[in-house]
Amino acid sequence: MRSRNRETHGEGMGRPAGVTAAEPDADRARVERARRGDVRAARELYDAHAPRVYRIACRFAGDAARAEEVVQDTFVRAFQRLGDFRGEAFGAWLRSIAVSVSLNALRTLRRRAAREVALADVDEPASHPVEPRDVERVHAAIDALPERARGVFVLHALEGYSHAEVAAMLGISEANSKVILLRARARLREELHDLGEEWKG
Amino acid sequence: MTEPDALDRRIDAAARSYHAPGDPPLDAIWSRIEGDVAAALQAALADELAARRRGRVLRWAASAAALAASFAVGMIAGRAEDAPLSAPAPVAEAPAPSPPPAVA
Repeated sequence: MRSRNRETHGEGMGRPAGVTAAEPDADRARVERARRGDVRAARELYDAHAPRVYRIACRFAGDAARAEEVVQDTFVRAFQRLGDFRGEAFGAWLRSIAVSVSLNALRTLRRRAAREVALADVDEPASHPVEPRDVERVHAAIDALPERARGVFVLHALEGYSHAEVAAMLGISEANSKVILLRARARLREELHDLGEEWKG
Repeated sequence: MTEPDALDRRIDAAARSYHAPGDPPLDAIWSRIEGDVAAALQAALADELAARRRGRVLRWAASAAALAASFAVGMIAGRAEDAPLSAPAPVAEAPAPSPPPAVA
């Protein structure tokens, strides 16, 4: 659960082979070089941060192809706005862009899906891969959470980010992040209370 | 009834596979964006150079204005020093007193 490589805490687990370390000092130097037009420095920043951006994109977008698009948009947007980066943690800044891009992509996708369903007026079977019934229900319950609650749940409970990091990514306060998570959990419990009985059995 | 914490843990365990990420195809994604990134960096560099140039012009203008102002203050001070400070100010002449009226 908390095995991802976290630059803030220096954990080294889960880093894919050949991926450059994402250290604040190294990042600052890379950003400076990138600002001078050095594409190799941009590639180093990409190598260091793309795996985590991809994880977030997958969790939000739910599909590898869409997640790749989110990663592309995130990095192009980040390098276009490199002048706005003011020396805070590059990874955190990048992840806030990734969350914003992911949520926008998801909204577009949902609008399109709603239009298509309305036009076709048919009950298409779910395109999710076949899962055990209870896992499928949990996934459906997460999908049914309000956008922000789902974001907080995914980032904190699944990706292991702290509330401070989640708050920075979603543009909310840390206290708000905690409250939203409590509400999300309450809603999931309410939705899945019968599963609790089954699991208990 | 399952305790809330236990149910939360169960939910978290089942949620782990929610949109679970696989291995990212880093090279393939980079090859698609490399051109855009290079263009973005060039544009950002051009913007920064333009901003620096604007900053240099503003700093030069501010320095020139400060120099001109101190020159003007110096000139005014110099002229004030040249003026004869010890010379008495001209006194307006008092009108001559009128003679007293003749007493009969």
